[in-house]
Amino acid sequence: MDSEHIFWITSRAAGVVALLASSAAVALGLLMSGRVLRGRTAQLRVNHEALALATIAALVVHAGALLGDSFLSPSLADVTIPLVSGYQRVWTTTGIVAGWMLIVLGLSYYVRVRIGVARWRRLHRFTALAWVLGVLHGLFEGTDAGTPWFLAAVAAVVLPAGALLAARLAQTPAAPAVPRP
Amino acid sequence: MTSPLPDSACERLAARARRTALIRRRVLVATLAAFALAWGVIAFGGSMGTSTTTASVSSSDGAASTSSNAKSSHDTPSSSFGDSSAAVTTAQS
Repeated sequence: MDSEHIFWITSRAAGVVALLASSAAVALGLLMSGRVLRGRTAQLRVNHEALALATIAALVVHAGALLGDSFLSPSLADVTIPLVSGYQRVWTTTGIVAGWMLIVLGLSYYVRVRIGVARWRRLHRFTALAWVLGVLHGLFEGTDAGTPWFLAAVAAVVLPAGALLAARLAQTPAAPAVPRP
Repeated sequence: MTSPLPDSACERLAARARRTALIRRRVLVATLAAFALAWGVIAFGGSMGTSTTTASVSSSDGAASTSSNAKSSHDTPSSSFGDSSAAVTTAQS
């Protein structure tokens, strides 16, 4: 291992952690809002919030560490603004959009009263879309995407979250409320 | 002025705060452990990307003159974020 690779390795490791933490957070969020674990919502919410914050921290490290990499030497704009970087433009942009969405939607929890709780709930559903974009970024651009350990980690955490999301999307919409007499 | 909470309510609140702190600590530890593990796996077992080789080979009847310049680099097929001018051949290390 070379000292010149420290930032590169740190960024990759943080990306993996962001993928795993966001997957777990999405899975818990879907479980919370579903009917499976109704009685344990308070505990799930604390876990969900902590994992969301861990995801945000990992995303900041993932992008920030790249700035220190002497080989790629991207600019701040390259790693924060969509379509600026010329390197794998589609998947880099996908990752940047996913990252910003996860950060903004995650932190919006703390201003949900100001936003309006109902509106915030509607917005919060887009977290699932951000997560899907993040998974695509990891799978199609990630340096470690083809390695057995990465695939095992993805299978352990991403697949269950994906299955929960698919189940949620497949659910038939609830019957319209019958007005009370 | 608010009336003080009964002892049982205080205890329940304190217990909930303890549980919350414990969960947060566990998530933090798990996250740091995952980061350290991923870092170790990548650093000591993973590829740093590709080995970039610039080679010019002239060969006609088996007597070849070869010059090459190889260096280890990341997985970028053509140098850095904006630069794609280098003519290189790459191979996964």
